[in-house]
Amino acid sequence: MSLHIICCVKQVPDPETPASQFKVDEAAKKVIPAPGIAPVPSQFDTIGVEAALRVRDALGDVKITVLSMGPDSFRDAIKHCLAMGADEGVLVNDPSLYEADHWVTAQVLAAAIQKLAPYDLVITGRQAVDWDMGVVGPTLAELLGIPCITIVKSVRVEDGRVVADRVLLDGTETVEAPLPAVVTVSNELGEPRYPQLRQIMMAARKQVTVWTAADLGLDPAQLKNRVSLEALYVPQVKVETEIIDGETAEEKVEKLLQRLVEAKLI
Amino acid sequence: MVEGNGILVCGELTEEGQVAPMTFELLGAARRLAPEVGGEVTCVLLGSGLDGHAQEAIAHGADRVLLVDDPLLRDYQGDAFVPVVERIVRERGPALVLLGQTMVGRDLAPRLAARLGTAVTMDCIELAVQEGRIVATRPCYGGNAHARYAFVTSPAVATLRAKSQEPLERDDARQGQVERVEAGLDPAAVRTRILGREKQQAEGVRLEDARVVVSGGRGLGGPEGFQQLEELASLLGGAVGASRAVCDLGWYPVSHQVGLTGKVVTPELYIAVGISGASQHMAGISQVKNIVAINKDADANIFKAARWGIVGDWKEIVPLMIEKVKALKAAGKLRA
Amino acid sequence: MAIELKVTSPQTRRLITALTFFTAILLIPLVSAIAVIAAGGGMGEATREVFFNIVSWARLVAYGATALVLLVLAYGPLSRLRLWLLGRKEARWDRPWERLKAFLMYGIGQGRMPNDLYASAMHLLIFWGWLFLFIGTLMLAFHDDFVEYLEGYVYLGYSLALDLAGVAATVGILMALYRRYLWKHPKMRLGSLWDDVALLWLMLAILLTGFVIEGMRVGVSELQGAIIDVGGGREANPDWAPWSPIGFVIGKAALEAGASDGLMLGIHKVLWWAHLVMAMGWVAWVGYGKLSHILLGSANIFMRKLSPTGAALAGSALEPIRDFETAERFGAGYLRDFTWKQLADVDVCVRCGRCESQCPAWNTGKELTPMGFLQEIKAYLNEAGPALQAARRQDDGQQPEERKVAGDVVSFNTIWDCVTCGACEYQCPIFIEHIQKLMDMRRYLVMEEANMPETAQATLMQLEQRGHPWRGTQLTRTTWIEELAREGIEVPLFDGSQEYLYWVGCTGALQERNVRVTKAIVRLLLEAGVSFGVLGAEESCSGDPARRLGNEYLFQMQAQKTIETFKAKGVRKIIVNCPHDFNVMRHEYPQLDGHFEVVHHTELFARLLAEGRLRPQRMGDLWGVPTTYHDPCYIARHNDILTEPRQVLAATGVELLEMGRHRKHTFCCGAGGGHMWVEESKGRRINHVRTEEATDTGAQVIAVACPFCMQMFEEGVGSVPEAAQKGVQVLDVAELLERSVTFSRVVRRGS
Repeated sequence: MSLHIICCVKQVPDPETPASQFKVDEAAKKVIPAPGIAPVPSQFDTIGVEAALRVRDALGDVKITVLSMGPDSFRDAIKHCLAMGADEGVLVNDPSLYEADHWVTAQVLAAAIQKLAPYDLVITGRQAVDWDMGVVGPTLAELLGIPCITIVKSVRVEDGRVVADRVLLDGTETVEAPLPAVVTVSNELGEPRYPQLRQIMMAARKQVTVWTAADLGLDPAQLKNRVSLEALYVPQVKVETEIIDGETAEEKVEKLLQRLVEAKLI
Repeated sequence: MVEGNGILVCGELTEEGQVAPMTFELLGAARRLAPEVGGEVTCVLLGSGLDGHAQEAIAHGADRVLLVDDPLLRDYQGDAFVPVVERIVRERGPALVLLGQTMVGRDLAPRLAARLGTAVTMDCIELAVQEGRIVATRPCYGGNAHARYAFVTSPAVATLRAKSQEPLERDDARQGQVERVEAGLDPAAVRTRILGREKQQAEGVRLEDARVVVSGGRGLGGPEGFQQLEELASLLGGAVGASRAVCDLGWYPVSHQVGLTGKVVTPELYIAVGISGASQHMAGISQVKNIVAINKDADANIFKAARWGIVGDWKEIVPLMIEKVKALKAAGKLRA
Repeated sequence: MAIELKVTSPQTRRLITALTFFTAILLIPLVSAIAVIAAGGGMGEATREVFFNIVSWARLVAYGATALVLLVLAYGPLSRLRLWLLGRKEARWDRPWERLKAFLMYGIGQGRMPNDLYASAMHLLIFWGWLFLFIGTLMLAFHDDFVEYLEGYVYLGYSLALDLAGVAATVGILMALYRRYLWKHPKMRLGSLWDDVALLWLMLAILLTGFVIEGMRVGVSELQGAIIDVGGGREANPDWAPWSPIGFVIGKAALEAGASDGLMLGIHKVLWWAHLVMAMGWVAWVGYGKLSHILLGSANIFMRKLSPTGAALAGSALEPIRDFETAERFGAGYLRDFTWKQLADVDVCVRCGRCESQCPAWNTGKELTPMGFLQEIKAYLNEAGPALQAARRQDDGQQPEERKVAGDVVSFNTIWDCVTCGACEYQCPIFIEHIQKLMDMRRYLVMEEANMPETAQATLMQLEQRGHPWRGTQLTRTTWIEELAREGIEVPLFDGSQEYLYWVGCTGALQERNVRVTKAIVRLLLEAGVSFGVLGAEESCSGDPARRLGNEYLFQMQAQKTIETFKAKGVRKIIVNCPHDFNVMRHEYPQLDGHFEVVHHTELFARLLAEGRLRPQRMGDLWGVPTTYHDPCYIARHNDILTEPRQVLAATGVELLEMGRHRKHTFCCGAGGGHMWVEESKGRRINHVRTEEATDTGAQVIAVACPFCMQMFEEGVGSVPEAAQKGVQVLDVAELLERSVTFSRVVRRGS
């Protein structure tokens, strides 16, 4: 039984950019890339690829396609996933889509997924670590008309069904759905595996298929954003901070506790 | 006036079957927006064995409550809830649909919006009406930035961040309409199946409810430090939290993770020990007014958000805190 | 901790090596010569009858047996060679004169011996004693077969010399037996019945029978003035007897006990044949087991790794992988992935246990023991080698089942416990190369299998994605420069016109505690008027962590990038405060065609102080503060920089207290080999052990010269109770210097 898993990935500015280096161009409503800090694949997306690889570890005959939508630089994210062990990479690169919101993004990805059919499982991250929305995955499920299991920490495929453990606030819920289905993964699944050197070298040689909106049979003029980004800014935080001083640690602690008691906080 | 009629609040029930506090927060927000949006504030509650719940919602601001009572709705499953809410939205035509940024909301809201062919903004902290459009403000980039969106389509679907909205004072005198609505579900349409649930044994005070949270980060250097934090938290009647970094390292259970992809907490007092204050973590405590930071590095980001800070080694500071809190407690100086 | 008697002062060590060489070579002959001269006259006729009391055809037997035994001996190394050839090619015969020098100094001169004085003395006695006895036998054979020159004083001196040699060897063997049975030294952990115990008793038996044989002969011939069968009959003279002192004592005792000639001759004959058989057996044994160290150990010293850049140890500079595209395998996973020399190393090991006794991993309860893993590979080589060799000869493409050395024969933890401190290689008397083997296995695990501890994986991901190992840092590479600018100090950027590049390193820029050291260094450099500049945002990782964590590919990419930056900017000289970056730039960048002059900050400061460009205050703040200095592994052991940091400390006025394990015997802080970011597998944390050792000196300050040691000790003084209670501080040598120097040009810290 041959399985086809499609993993959606994207590239984001490094979320571990030191706060002092995070700057926004408010006029352009874009984040200014921090100098010398390279973008990275969105964390949950690579965890999605890891989930797919684990399914392959268990079942063997699994083909994994990595799908992304964005400019040419997103190739790096795809290559990283190929180096992890994915088989093919597809990038939908169309300038008319660079400002797409999650709705348009989901439309385009759904079209690409259908072009990549037959497929059994679509895996996305629970949210992208730049916009933190978490909308594309479930939207894809609706557009494709298939079941959806969100925010999972383990994925298993057996007998044409996917069984996943969802992360609850204080526990786990095991849910199953028939294939094909969409699953969104969370960090509790584990660390994405470290690419073996040979995989990296092979991935470097692999070609990434590039499609435009036209290749997917889509007319960009028909794909209109359903939200409009009005503003992007760094919020000003105004807090009066008192760094407790004192000669000894004991003195500092005493002063602190005094403040807390006075403020009726403890 | 905004296109559409009124605001629909998608309420939630707790595990014990009570109306969740999140719902009251949503109703509070809806009430405040209602004058500008126009129309009623309707609260829909889906569940099984609903009784008296409607009154709760009305007392917290709903003009109308729709009760959808069906055994298939006992546990949340997207395939059951989404079509029901979709049908209600299509029938009632609200301008705005509100849900909580909860495990349910994260699943329901995007799917609902997709079916309605409309947009959704998640984890919003502010909603407003500007020039006839619903405008939502939400944190992004791990909390480093805020984005403001205007909805182009109707209805606008939005989830609100927990504890970002004030619920109304409960007013049992409030009047409202209660309607029982048929779920009209075809069991065959529910493609998923819940195989089981496992609850993690939560000891002591729940993180989300705690008045005081003592949280540990990478600066602890290892899992052993958490024992002291547990002691301190216990003395203060609070709960222990952890940054994502230490949860990923396995130093503390993930259920205690505080941050953007962990829990958002709003204790009165948050003591951050050995936490640098990366945005991802700060997003989990963005609403906390009183943060105490203990960190060896005077330049750590956390100090910018903290009300009080001690620059020092937690290994020195925390044992002293434990000692002195014990003394204060014995002397009866602490809050009950 | 094992009791160690060792010598650490380099001067004393050189003295000991010189002494062993000259004194040992000359002592016995010298003593004998002096004695002979002092004896006066009348000994012209002294000699002995060779093959006394033995049938003449014994000669044939002796020579025949010798030939046979030599064949048996030769078969030993040859059969091992067959197994070593399972490995890859490696050339180790370039620069033969240097290699000969190494052999003389470390082989004959026992240059590594001062690491353990008891074992040293013991081995010296056995070595020289046995060597003289062997030479003596050859001399006797020559005398017997060719020219009868052992006459008169020559003979008497000869006889005395050999007796002294025999005594020396016997004392040595007794010392060895004591060490094994009564002292039960922990280094003897991997002893075996045949290879160690039986051998010792055999050698003792050979010596003792030799003495008794001599005693019987002297008793029958010389003491009684009997006629001996020399040159037509000569009367043996009792005056000759004392020149074979042991024989004399034994012979005399036998006669006084009333032994008859017949009895003595009988004992003589039996023991003579026994002695012959045992000695022959011993010679044959030289081809095998522990005794093979005579041949193989010497060869190993001769074939030691010679560093073109002057690295102190073989493992200081790791070998690069030259061509990734065509390499059949990255690193060493199976026996055939090692070079033949690496496989030979495991056979050369005599299980002396010195490496293990100094290994920080072993000493803190971890799985890794350098001696242990060598023996594991050896055991497997013996087990699977022959079959593999046979399969290779058949060359039918069939590979027999074989176990993976990296991860199976040698465990995962063993490979990852190593901190590359070099203590093992420094101890080894025969220059076995432990580190490269472990690193080759680590490379296999990382690059072929992506199999590593989680923390190592996270660090490599971090290095690859962000170009530095410090995940979560809120600092950037220029934050410290901006901070200094706010204090009114302008840090020059390197533009090619300055003499030095000051390489700050990832840790020096991105870790708050270490930024203070960077700033101290910059202030001192500015004060001293040194012409330097920094790269600021253009610095990226030197590549060292990637290499030590086993990702050779990532290392080469990062190193090449840095080398290109250096070349583009015209960098020639580099000041480094991180010993790891120092080591990689000095010894490993040349492998990638990056040749720069690298100096450690302590070296530079020592020079600046000597030149008067930095002026220490008299009796400054630090005067008399009890301070201990922790020698960083990569400065002290890998690079022989021992005195300069101490000179700098002397200038600050602190009272220097040395730890027991100091200088080249320094005990690692635990951060090497990538362990700054990788969790230890089990046992006590290495840095806690070392912090305890530092605190036990009574020091109030621990002086370090490495950013990793700084981190490790900062954690240590917070965790180790005694240190925490005493409030022990950790400061870099530069920070201490900064507090002791008069600043006239630059604003001082804390103003």
